[in-house]
Amino acid sequence: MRIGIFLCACRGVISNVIDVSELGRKFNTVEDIVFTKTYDAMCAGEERDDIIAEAKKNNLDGVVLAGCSPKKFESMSNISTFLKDIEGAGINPSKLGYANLKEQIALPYRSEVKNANSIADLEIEVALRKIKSTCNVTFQEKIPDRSVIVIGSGPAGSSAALKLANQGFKVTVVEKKAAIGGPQLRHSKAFPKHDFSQCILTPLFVEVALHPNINVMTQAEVIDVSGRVGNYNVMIKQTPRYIDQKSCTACGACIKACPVSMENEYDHGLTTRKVIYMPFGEAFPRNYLIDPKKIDYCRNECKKPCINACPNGAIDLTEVSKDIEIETGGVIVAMGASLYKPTEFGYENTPDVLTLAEYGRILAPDGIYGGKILRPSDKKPPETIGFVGCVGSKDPEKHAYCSRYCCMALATAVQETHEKLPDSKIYVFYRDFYPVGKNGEQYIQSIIQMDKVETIRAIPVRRETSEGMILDAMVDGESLAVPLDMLVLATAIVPNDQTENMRTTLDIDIDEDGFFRELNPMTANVNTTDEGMFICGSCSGPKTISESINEGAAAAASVAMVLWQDSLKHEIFVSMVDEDLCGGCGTCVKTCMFHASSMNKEKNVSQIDIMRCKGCGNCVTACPSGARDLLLYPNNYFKEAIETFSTYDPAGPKILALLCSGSSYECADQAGLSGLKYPANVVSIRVPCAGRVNVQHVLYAFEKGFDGVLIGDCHHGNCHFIVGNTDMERRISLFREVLRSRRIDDDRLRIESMSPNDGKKYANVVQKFVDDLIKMEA
Amino acid sequence: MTDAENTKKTDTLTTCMQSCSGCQISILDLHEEILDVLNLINLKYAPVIMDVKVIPKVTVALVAGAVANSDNEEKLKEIRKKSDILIALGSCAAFGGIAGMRNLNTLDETLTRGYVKTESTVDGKIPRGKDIPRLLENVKPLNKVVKVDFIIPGCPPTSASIKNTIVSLLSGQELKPSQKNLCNDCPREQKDLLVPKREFITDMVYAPCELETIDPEKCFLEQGVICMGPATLEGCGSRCMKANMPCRGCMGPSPNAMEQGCEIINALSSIIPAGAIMFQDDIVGTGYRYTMASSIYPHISKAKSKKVSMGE
Ligand SMILES: Cc1cc2nc3c(=O)[nH]c(=O)nc-3n(C[C@H](O)[C@H](O)[C@H](O)COP(=O)(O)OP(=O)(O)OC[C@H]3O[C@@H](n4cnc5c(N)ncnc54)[C@H](O)[C@@H]3O)c2cc1C
Ligand code: SF4
Ligand code: SF4
Ligand code: SF4
Ligand code: SF4
Ligand code: SF4
Repeated sequence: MRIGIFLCACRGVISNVIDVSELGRKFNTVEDIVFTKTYDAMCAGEERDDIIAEAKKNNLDGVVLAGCSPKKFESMSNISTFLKDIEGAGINPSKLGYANLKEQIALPYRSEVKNANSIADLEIEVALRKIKSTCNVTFQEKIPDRSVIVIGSGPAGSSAALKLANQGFKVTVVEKKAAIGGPQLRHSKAFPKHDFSQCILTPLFVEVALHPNINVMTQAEVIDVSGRVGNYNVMIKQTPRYIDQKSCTACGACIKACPVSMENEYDHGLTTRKVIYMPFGEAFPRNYLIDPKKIDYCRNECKKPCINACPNGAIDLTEVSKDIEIETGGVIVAMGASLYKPTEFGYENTPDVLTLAEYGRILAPDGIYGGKILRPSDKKPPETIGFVGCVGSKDPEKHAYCSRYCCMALATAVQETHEKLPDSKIYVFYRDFYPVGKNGEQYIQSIIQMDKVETIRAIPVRRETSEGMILDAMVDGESLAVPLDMLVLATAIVPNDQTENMRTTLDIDIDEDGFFRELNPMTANVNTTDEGMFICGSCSGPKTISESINEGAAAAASVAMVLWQDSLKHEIFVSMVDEDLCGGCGTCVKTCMFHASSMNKEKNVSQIDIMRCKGCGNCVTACPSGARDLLLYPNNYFKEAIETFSTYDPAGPKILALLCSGSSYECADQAGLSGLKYPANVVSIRVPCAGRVNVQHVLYAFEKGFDGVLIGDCHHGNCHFIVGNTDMERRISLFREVLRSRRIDDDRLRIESMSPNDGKKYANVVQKFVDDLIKMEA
Repeated sequence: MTDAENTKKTDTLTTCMQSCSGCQISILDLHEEILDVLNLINLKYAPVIMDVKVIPKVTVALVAGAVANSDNEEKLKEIRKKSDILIALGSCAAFGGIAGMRNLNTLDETLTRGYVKTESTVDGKIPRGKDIPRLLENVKPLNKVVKVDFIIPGCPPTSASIKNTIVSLLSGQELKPSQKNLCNDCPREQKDLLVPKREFITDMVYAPCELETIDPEKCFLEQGVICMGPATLEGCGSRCMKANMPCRGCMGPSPNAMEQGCEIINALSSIIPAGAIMFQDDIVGTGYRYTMASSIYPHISKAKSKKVSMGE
């Protein structure tokens, strides 16, 4: 090979600790290395151009970037063309190696200069081994399909759909409910305009509904996705309405005939409706439907008067759900969030304690009492109403984050209540006021200044007396008892209850709070790790309407930027099967989460669907025949990397850290970036996923003299490849028997789940591991 | 046979180190086919069937058994010097075999267990003396002591594989043993394992004796019986499965695997609940039954340990 090593001093950050020039000189004499060069700062524009130029001039076929963490280069990919340019210079992506001199060596080991230099040397050696042991990545070029699927039709999804449709993209909106628009339509007035939600939003939804480039599918859910950016195959399951949409004229005759009532979810179950129904007044599609939850009853038990009542013969109870396959270039997820169901304040068993969302159905002009504020238990106007903020939010035991909409929505509801009941007394209990968006501060101030409104900074407790409910609170050391006729709780926004389900279908990561995770919360907040999938609105965290609409627009722009390209080049880094070794045991078929492995029955060997394989390596680890290998992280690489690092000889214990690329590796980077130090007794190897941790390699590390092995994975439920961390944990739990049989202390093998931004955890984990190993030797 | 006929044949020896002699019986199990072999070789040394004191110079040496004591080590080195081609015959020779399991104990523990603590022993003593070969701390497969040219794995190797190896070797044909795992050859039918869907193929793990009936046509794993087939090289003719017993792995690991014990863990963990495996199966005993001595880590740790959880 002809390899070039480019080293970065990082303006002294690296070179104050590691002698990069010396490393350059040393590797210059190593076999296959034709070129080394050191820069003061490699990421600057000129230097980057210089790297590309040198790669071309020296006819390189392999490059090692020794400087920043690979995670940094990779996360730049959506804002910078650097990696693509290197590829353009003739370097196959599998021949681009990284030596993370900064985040995981120079920064944390800055007071152990000698050790830092030894590890840096080995780190480069390991990077070289990696590019030598990988096969070339192959490419596939395809013309992108200029169409997009938008999942969810709330403000975010509708905004995205419209902006794409207006540019000429064909858009399919997949909405789970029977009508588009999302839950905001049910509320009354919305901040910051203080206008009715329906008045503000209906025009947007009508536009979506009628746009010639938009196909709206209601009662529909995405159940499978395969393929890559530009060319996905999406399977959608659509539940029927049991009423033919074309012949239904929405005359409503069926409703009168239907003898059965059920809970009306549009009013949060505060009212009832017929089994055959229109979701709400301004619903689109403007067609009736039969609630699928009751279809068995309709078919088998009911006398079906609706069928005769319908003058157009539109009702067909025999309709069945359909699986519809759609080819599309990009996917935008805008499936919103759910709301916390309170257990506090006797909510579950008192009709006069409502959530803010339910109260919205009292306030709204089309509300359950015709827009009048009445107390549900006796239908009288309340004389005292309490509001409590942050129910379920900003509470470490429930949801530690702020739900962002509640203070403002609460202020909106208070103001509207005051408009409708000017003589009633209003008490507002709050933890903090957090004004959001335009006029936020004035909005909050205006309710604070109302004389019928008393704002109390306290978390109250409800007490029931013969007179009714009382809220007790401590304010400035004094106890306060507030009798109330009615109580409204501003409950937390929580992740959509479908998130987990969709995560496995779409393979989009979720964050610590359970929302979809953006690629970068600052520079790429609608992007995901999949170049063709975007997230927007409250499915990635609590948002306001305007933020959701903006994110919808950002997602539309981002997907358009990708799909306008003439052709898209896919790197196929997948797993591979050696047919001479595969005996068709089926382990890989069962192990793959993404249905990418199957059996070729004729040959009795397994095969890989490259349109589905995500390159996680779980099957490679699982294959007991060594018949599978992973293109970018082959078995041999791990063996050689362990061998290489095993020559490191610090005083005291020596730990090998196998860190998953999704979380732990970045967590270790963050430890360095946060200025934390930990003893230079650990060397790290990045694995694409914890599922790629092969227990053979762990045992090999012990054989090669490591005193401890640390496996870093994602927190439960956060694995980028869904099952990698749990499969690894299962393997390790069995593997511990092997360790015990060799009398290797159980405690020398540790698994730690980390999140990417929790640098402190990595530093603490390493420090403790080193301390414990020293104690064990003593 | 005349001397003239014998000179055309290849001088061969066969002997065993620490072994049960099963491998050599397997040669005899060729029955009349043994004549095909004897037409090709001139057996100069074979302590199981003939009394020759000095190890002769030969072309082919078929050595069974593992290296377990100082005598084994010495003899093996001598055989290596005196032979052109050295074949490890059977799993003990190739991987250390069953006896390799003693590597999980210290030598002292092994001797004490064997000579002192046996349930039926009274006042037992560990035999020592300069005429008694010294047991090695760890059992080793032949290739950890000398260079091995070929292996014929199996416990014991099938008679057919012994014959095929010798015949093709001596008639100059290329030896191309299969490299696939045993499921390739196994006649049992797999169903659930071939459905690309994440779910365990069984919730429970059973010992074969626990089941009233074992479906003779269905994959063992799918019936909840741990089978080493996936982590084992094919070539035995699936003889255990045909006798309605799961594979125990005597053919050793696939050539691309680092070892067998870890590979079965890698594989089973995502298809059978780990808890059920741990509850029912001694995964170390199962995974390393024949290959402990050639494991990645073929001995116990010398590092200080907080707690010792194995051994007596
Ligand atoms: C009580 C309350 C009052 C509020 N008041 C205000 C306010 O006054 N001003 C303001 O700016 N913000 C307000 N908000 C916040 C505002 O509602 C949200 O910011 C906004 O609705 C988020 O829009 P979205 O498009 O992301 O999600 P949503 O509006 O929730 O839309 C998501 C859509 O996706 C659909 N969906 C869900 N799962 C699936 C699936 N698996 N497949 C297909 N479709 C699916 C849902 O049915 C829904 O139609 C309030 C929120 C609450 C709870
Ligand atoms: S387990 Fe991972 S690497 Fe293997 S086929 Fe499936 S997606 Fe690809
Ligand atoms: S796990 Fe390995 S041997 Fe088994 S079918 Fe898959 S590739 Fe083949
Ligand atoms: S391999 Fe099996 S048959 Fe051969 S000597 Fe060893 S235990 Fe006996
Ligand atoms: S696991 Fe065992 S029983 Fe099943 S196919 Fe493989 S060898 Fe046969
Ligand atoms: S089935 Fe397994 S244990 Fe039985 S002979 Fe074959 S390899 Fe050996």
